[in-house]
Amino acid sequence: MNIDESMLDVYIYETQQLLEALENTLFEGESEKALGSDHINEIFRIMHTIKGASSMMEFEQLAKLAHALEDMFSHIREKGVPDGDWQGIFDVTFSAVSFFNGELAKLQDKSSADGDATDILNMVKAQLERLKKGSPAAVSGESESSAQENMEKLSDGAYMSVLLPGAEEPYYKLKLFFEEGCQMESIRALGVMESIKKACSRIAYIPENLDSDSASAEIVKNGFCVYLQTCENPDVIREIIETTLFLKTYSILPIEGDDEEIPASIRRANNQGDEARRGGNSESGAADNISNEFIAKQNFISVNVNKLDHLLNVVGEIVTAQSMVINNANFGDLDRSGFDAAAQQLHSLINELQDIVMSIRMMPMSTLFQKMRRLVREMAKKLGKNIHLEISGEETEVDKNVIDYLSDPLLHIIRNSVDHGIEDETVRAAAGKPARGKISLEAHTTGSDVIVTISDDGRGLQKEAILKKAQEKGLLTKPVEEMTDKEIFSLIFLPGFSTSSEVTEYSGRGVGMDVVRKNINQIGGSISLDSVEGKGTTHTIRIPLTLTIVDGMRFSVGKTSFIVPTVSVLSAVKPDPKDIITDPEGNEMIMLQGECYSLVRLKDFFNIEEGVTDINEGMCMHISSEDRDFCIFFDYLDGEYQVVVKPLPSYLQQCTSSLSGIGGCAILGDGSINLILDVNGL
Amino acid sequence: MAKIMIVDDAAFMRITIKNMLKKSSHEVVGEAETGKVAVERYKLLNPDIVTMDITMPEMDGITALKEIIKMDPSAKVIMVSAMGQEAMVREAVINGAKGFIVKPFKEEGIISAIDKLA
Amino acid sequence: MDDVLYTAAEESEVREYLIFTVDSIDFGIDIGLVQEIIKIQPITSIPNALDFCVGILNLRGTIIPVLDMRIKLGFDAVEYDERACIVVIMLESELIGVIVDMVQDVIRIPENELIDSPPVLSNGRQSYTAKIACTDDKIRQIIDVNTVFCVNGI
Repeated sequence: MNIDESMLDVYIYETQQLLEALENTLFEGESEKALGSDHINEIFRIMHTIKGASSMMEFEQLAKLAHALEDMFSHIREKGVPDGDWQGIFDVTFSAVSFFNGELAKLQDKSSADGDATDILNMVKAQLERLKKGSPAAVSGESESSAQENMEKLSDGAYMSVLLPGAEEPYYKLKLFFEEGCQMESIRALGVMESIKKACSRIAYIPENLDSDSASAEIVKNGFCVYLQTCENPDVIREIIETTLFLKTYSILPIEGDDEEIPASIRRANNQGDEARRGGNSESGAADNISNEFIAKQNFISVNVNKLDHLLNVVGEIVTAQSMVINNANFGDLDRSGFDAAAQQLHSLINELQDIVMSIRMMPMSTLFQKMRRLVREMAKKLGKNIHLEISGEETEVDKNVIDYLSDPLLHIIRNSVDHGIEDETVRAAAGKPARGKISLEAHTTGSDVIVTISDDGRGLQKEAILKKAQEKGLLTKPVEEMTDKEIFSLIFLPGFSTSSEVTEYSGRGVGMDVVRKNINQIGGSISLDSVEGKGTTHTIRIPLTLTIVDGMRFSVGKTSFIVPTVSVLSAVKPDPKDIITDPEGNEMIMLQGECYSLVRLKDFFNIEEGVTDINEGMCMHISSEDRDFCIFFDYLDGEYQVVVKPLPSYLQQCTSSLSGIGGCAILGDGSINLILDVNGL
Repeated sequence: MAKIMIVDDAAFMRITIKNMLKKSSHEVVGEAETGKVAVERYKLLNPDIVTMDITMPEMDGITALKEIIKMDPSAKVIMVSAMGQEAMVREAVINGAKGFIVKPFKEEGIISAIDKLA
Repeated sequence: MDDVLYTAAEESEVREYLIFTVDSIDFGIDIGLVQEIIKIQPITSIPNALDFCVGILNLRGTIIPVLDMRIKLGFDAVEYDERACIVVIMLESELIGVIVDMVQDVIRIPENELIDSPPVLSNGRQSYTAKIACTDDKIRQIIDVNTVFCVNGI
């Protein structure tokens, strides 16, 4: 079999998209315990498309499975589910989706889709047999019958039923927050509605009642969320939104019209469009509609991530080269105004280019979160637990790299929560907790960081057990009575620690939270953990939003060059020895504009051999970190640079006694490496 | 730089806002102490942005806003309100006010609001 | 060129090893782990580095840590001369650079000519040497990269 690689990419991408849509539909159906006719049609269409594509690619097993499902849903479309047992249908379809996803993952890893679908095929066939045995004319449920009527009405006019691709306007989800303390948030939200409604054909929002007393408080807490359908370019909406006074942040994201989070009033399920589309009764008719719809929906192209990585690297080099050119231009006595103007323009163009490249790489967390929903569902079912996964902030955008690095840690943490955190129903009942366990997964941004929290209301961590285990493994470095809760919990992140006493299919023993922390550290993030025994556990992951290109000031200590991000620098001064105060413990402080700040000599902090010790010869910089303002002392200031930040090789952790105070490194145009100062680590 | 007209019946508020705006790049081109005067001066001065008090004698801020929007649908009017005036602010927003600011406000607040619309 | 060797040892797997010298002793490392060999170049030192860690260097845009094999293996540090070079090794999924006195050759050694070395040396220290090869009347210690550079090896 000789497959063109780019076709394979397209196949994988498209099929994954379809499976994701299918899964959404299934989740929705499962919560309503049945599928409406439009959903059945959608699933039928999806299977039809996958069948066709898989057979084109000669993935025989996948094509067969898709065909079997297509048959099953075709039968359901005609005859319904006579015995009303939808759960069996959902289960087998979910299993099939997992199988497809597994095979696609193999293909993505450049291995072959060699999985055997026989078992699952038999399950599908068994379901179909079951359906056929049921009474042929039976109609299940009232909603089903009305839907069927609807369809019949429409199929009368079958020829006019092909919907033009453009007729379906895309949906968007808009979420915004106002500045703190701006007051009357509900009326501000109303103002937003007033200004964007002209540009939208349909609109719905949360909180639904802006006149209620609690609306403002709700908006302050959760933001104002608008679901809208428009044929306008989202930029038009953006332009309108951006004139809103006291707006803090906002995001606007395309969203599937049938996504269950869209308020029912404007969700696509209510739209006649879908039913109309199924009017083409013959299979080929249906297939045509699918391809039309696909083109209409996908206003995107898929790009190989390697190309984007390369692009980012090149842009980084351009940034560096640019500052080299500008810093090294020597005109002597000649007039340089022309050069300066051109340099300024180049600078702003490059900035724009950078922003675009970064934005291309930004992806919403939604796909990742969707994966977690799938995991929780599967695990809860297998372990016989009743668990609800609550998701919020899935529209938060982060760099593609961050998504990749975050996937495994999240899987791991959520597995732990489902497996060990959430108790069995009986245990929960005995503890006076609701039978249904809750795990919440939340993402939001704070300035330069993305915070992801995963919390469960399960049994929490037992401090005693952790300490005992740590003691057994010889992981304790200080007396137990001196340890704070935080320190006890952080023992879990040490290599070789795992509290799981039994090995299950999902949470193996041994590979533990140390791997989770390593992954997160690799992208410059951090993880912390808090837990109350009997109440639950909360994991907080903090990751830099985009730490790739920063403006920085370069300075040196001895032979070592550092770069400190300009955002952290308040001022740089030539210190006067008169202003230096030494306290009895020998800590130095410096007076700046009447205020006293502690002085950190970087030479001492980093144990650098050479370097200035005389206050008269060095320089000071007034630094603002997350929790305090202070001053650093170093040899001399070199100037401002724009640099591409690279993480330090993680192996270095094994080669140094401490890397605190160093957040990464940057390569300058001359090839030299500079260390990035992490002001929060000083 | 935008041309600003300040509408308020209280001289104190007009002066306060004017002083606050001195530190911005915007220019106060006129003032009005009632809604009625505001509508007339708007025609004459054609300011880029209007700050509009709500409760004023002769003609209140909401009515003045409606009149101004009638003449110039693209007019940019910022309502200057206080806690307890929610209902009126609501009406102003529906009738085309570009936004509102709640007393007491700080210099940064009003400057950033005007910067945004300018 | 090594066909003869190959047929002679066809019963056993033949592997290639990069032979390098540290303090006049020959060591070998599985060539499969060696990414490239570069000459000594400017290395940026890292604060608080342990003695065997020289610093980091920029390998065409990738930052890699550089370690001194002499110190790592317990020899005294010397000034590098022009024969010294940096062997870039793939360690798990990361690249590291290792400074050695000199690189000699790549040779093929059949598996059955390798002798397991005792895991613990007479001085009680764990040995970095995984196997010992005796070919061409020379003794070469094949080092186990993972033991030398892994966490537990420190």
